[in-house]
Amino acid sequence: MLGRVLRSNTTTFTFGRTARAVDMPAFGHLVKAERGRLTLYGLIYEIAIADDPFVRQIVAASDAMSAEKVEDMRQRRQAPVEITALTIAYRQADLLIHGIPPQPPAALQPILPCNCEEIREVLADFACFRLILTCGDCPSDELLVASLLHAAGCQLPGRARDYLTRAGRELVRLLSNDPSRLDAILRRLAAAVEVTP
Amino acid sequence: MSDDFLRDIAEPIQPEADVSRRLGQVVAGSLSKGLDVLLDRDQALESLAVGRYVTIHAGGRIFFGMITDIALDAANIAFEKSPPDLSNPFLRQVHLGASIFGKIHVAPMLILDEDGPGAYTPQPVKTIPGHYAPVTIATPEEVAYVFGEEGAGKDAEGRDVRYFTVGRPLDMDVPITINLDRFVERSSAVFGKSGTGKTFLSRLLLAGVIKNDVAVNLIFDMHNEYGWEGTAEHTSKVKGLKQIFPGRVAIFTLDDESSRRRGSNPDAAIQIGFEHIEPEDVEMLAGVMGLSEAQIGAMHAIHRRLGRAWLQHFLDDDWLEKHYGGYDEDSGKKINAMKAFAEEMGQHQGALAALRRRLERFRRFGFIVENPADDSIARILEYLQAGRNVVLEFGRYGNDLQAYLLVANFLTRRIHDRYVKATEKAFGDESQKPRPLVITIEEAHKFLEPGIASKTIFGTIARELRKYNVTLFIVDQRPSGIDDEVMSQIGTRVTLALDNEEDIRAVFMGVSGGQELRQVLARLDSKEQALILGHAAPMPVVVQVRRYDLDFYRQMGYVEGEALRHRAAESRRMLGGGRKKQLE
Repeated sequence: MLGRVLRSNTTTFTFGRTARAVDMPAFGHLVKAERGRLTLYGLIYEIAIADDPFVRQIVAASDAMSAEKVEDMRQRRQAPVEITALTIAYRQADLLIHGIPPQPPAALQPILPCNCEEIREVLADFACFRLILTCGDCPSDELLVASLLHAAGCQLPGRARDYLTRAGRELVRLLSNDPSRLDAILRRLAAAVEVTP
Repeated sequence: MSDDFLRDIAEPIQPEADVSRRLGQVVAGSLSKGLDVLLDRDQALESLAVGRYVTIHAGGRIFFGMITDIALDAANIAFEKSPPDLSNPFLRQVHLGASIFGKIHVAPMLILDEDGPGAYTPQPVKTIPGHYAPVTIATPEEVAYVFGEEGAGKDAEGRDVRYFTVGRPLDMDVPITINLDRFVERSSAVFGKSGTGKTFLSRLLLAGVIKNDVAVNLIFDMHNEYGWEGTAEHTSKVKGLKQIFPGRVAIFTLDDESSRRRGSNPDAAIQIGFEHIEPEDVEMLAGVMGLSEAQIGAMHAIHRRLGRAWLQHFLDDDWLEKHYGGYDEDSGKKINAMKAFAEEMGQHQGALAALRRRLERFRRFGFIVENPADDSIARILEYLQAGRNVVLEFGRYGNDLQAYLLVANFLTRRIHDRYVKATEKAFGDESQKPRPLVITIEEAHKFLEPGIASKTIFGTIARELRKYNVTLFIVDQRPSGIDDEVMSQIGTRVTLALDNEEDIRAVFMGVSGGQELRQVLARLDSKEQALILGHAAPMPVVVQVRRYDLDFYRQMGYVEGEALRHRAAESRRMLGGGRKKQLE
């Protein structure tokens, strides 16, 4: 479990968790939450560490702190790390539907990581691209690149390049009226492909 | 949304066409302007060519079409103005076929409607396939199915017809046939600029007509290329129709000496009597002879006054002197015969003198004589009615356009007249109808140019269609010189390379989708490639013309050398055996 839902709406959900580094999800990763018979999938686009009065006091009290103390303070925060995901798909009756779910996940619902098989399935046909590209509050281009590179890493051996090529062509279709934006995204993917074995 | 509904809509759609031959998909278009096809990304534009056939499977039907244009396009004009960095292999792979792509334009030609399992009937195209219908390269089997096999067969309406191979498509090894019965049913034409092989192709088509006996031919052989032998650029000689079909082709000549010198061994020499020439025979030569309207009027006036011998008398000084000359009884002065003749005719003396000078040229033609030995018209008709094809060689007169026009017009007028009478007599009794006749004329625009087409017998024949069982086979290099109305009546047009825009426009006069086919015609090789469209072909087709060589002669039934001796010996044996049997 990565955390629990703090707040949500039909397009995004935010969950909280401790700041431990072991299983901290990253920007662009795919996570999921249950809602009754629905499974909701979201791409992480914001990870926020808010301050609290205790941290503020410590920071104001002294400059010098031992590493153990800093680590202890990080692990035992009163405020959770807040992670927000953009909902891009949901599963209903074994069918994967790309779009906004009928209902958002409930508060305190556990958030789970997705395995590679799920990532390949959810990000297989790029139907979520439009949702990402039109997302008003998220850094959509960066999110798209990060999620694609993450998904490319989950492809079967030798299929990553083909996956990114197909994704690039879908982006051409969606962004042909904005060539400079398209070019910026594709160059990011191209740079990644060059280092992909 | 219920769970069941979601499962139902998730059923995949089965593709109908063979994916391995897929070129792309229909993205736009109309019946009148053709279809735009977006090529799949893995299609190499360079491997496509205009004139190639494609099939489109849609709605349980197969649409047949021809590629008429190939184009480069981009999803956004910005990709043309500022090309993406294609030096990067990944970007290249992404952009090709997505932001920049190839398109082809397809002219829909016909529809194959399924009659039963594996049986289709070609129908004229009256609709178009829907959006994103898959487009594939037509297979040789599909092309062969549409055109039919050489020999006797049935057409789409179930009638008995004969098919003849004219060549092969540019990109596949499939014989392309034309329906010969339809070819002779209406007037047909071979067009092409000089040196493209018009005569070869015409001779080949005529051989097909003769071999299959779909009509009898009268060929006005201006340059002596059809009868005994013709010339080729790379080989010395090719066989004429009489060598291939010795028993079914007769050579008539206007110049016996020339024909014998060339080894033609003509069956008969044509002679025309001065008395047989009528003003109407000369009238259509007005352009080449430089006759004015007044002079044409004068010819008719002379004919009315002098009757059948009008030309002979008008060109005879002694006759004029005898009848209009002499001395004035009152004054004793010599009377100017021409002046007196002109006064009697009500014509201007100068106009008559100029007309006489022009008509004097007929005296140079050795085939125009005062007392012809034979009735040439009757002789030609006798051959035609017996099913023998007549090639009329012009010998040295082939270089004289006046002689060619005069003779072709003279003979055709009279033969057509006999055909009209025979056909009218046979109304209601099909068995009495004369054999269908095809008249071959070269330099046809001289007979059919605007202004005179409506007055000449050739214009009449073209407009009559098959009413009197006479049609034209036109061989010409200037289709733009032919009257529009006549062009619109030409059923089958076989066109070799043409350069002139006006000529190309004329070829497509009255042809549905002609504008698109212009691109195809404009890109034909300068030799031996032809675009065939119209009545005798189920759809327009570009062919590499069949070789006119020894193989062709043999396929037409020609035998030579040892085989000929063997056949002769066999015939002798049969005849001898028959006589022996009778005697016994």
